[in-house]
Amino acid sequence: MFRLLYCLFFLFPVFNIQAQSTYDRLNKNPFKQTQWYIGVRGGANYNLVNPINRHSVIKPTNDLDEALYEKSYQSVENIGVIYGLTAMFQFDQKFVVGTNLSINQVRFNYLQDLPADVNSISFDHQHDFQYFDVPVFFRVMFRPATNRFWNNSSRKPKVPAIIPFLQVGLNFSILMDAEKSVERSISQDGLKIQDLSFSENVDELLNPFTAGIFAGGGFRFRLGNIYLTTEVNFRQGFSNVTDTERRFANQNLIDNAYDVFDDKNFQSFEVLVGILVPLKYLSTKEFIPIEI
Amino acid sequence: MVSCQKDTEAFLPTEKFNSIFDNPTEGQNYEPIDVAQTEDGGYLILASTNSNQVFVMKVSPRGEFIWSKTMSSAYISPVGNIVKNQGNYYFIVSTLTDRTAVLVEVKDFDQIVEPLRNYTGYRRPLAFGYLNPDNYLLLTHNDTIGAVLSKIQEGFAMEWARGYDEFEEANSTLDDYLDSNTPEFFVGAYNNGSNIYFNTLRPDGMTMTYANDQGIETGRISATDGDGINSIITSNDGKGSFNYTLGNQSFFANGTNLANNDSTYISQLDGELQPDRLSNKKALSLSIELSATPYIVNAFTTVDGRIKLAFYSDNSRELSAIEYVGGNDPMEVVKIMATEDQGLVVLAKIIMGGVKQRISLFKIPKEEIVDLF
Repeated sequence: MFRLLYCLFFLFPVFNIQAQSTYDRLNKNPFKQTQWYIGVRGGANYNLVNPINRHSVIKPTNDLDEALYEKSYQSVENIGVIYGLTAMFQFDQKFVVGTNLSINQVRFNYLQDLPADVNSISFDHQHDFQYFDVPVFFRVMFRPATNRFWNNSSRKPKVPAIIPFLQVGLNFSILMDAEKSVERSISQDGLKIQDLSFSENVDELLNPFTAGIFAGGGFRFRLGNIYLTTEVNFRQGFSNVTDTERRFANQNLIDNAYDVFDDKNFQSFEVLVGILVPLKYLSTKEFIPIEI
Repeated sequence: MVSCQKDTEAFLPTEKFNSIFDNPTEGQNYEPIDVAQTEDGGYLILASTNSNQVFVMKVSPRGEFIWSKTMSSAYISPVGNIVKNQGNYYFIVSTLTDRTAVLVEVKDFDQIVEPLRNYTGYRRPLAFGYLNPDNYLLLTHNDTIGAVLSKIQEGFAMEWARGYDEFEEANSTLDDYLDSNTPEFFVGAYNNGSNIYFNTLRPDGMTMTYANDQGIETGRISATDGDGINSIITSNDGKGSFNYTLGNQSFFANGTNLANNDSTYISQLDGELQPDRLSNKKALSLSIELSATPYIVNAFTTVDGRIKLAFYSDNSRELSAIEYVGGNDPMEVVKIMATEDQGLVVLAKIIMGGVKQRISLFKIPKEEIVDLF
């Protein structure tokens, strides 16, 4: 009994010293208290056009007819793709800042008619723009705050496997390519024929840089040592995508499609799935990532 | 590739625009006739409808629709030019009943278009224009003597009128001529009104007549058959530039001495053949100045339905630059005009999809013209 008490009295501090050492190594090192992630992500967007100022080559001869010649932006065939890389820095259990490098396809179309009872002309304008997006965002993760320190049994802190989050950000876009196709149809006595069709690059009609804001939310799922994210965002551009000083620069569009761009920005909903890989590990041998 | 550089010239919306004016009414078509720049930098367009009614439209300096009026069907067949007097604008129409020439006043600010004065006894107006900045010239076709030239004073009273020919059945002769030809009627003056010219049908055919400041004939350029002069611009050095058709071919005589005291024939103009011009459509010239260098712009409708603007140096008379305007739908030039900011405005007729004949107005900014050279 005495020997047992002796052992407990003298050996416990030894164990305690050993546990303290692990504790310090894993938890008091600031390096271990944040995490970096890189990943890939991709998805689809649904784009809507918000006209700011309307412009048209076709104009009325009577103020009552003015609305007839406004472009009619369509809500179908507006789905594009978005894909790219993502990088994030988690500096707190609940907070993340990040950026993406994405290719964003913006598709939209509009109709413009020269109406009449019997002989009418209609134009169908399809657009396919590609932007290189560089957003920066701030993400709040909804999870219980847990003690980030490893407990004395040296077990990993418990991080929820599924974490919902909300995010807001600023988006900066660089125009990469802008293509437009036009089809003209003439209706005569009920017979409709397509008499003109052509495509044009319209880079020169657009501002090379645009900006906007976005907000959204999603979930982060743990899949082993990596994460799967799903997110839904709403984006609102706040700069005019049309270059107002080059509105009339494309003579072919003016001469054959009677078209100039409205001043406009885009609104879009996007759905994305991504894979995140943490960059900091407790043990590079076993690829045990730091989870905070 | 990321698009950061642009090759084309940038323009503010007021510097360049392109407008086509449509009407959804089935069968409604327009024949543009003239355009004038208004004091606010906008444009006043005169046109006739396919029912020969008088249509006036105001557009903004950016080519946007502002207002329009269609006159009562009691007035038909408007003729240019639009002239300006004390802030208002004027042109000539005919009465439906007996084709009496009527002066119409346009009050732009009030959006009013109304007949102001009947020139009773002066029927079938063909052309209206400036004698000098304060007086005007009216060319009519009287049903008993044919061409009549009148001087209209600043207050729009008629000062004098001159007839020129004994012309039997003058009206029906003109009708017959118009059935198979597309002549241009015009009237104007140079040397501040000391010399007058007018182009109309006279007994021998389309004739451009020179007259003194009292309308007394001093010379002429005669044509026969369907030949005739289409347009003229004059300069104070006694020279003129003519578009004309001869033997169904089109010519441009640039910088020809104005033989206003001689009787000559159109074949003596010795112009340059314009093989790409559609000879039965308008051809017009205009003097402009670019960077202190004078040019003559000659505009006409090409055989492929576009508008060609040919820029000639006014010093060397050599062709300096060419610009084509138009696309798939055929266009016809109606009027070219220099704007206050040294751009060019073109009034044209366009036939869209083969079904809609519409008014087109577009502006070419000075910078774009300079880039052509």
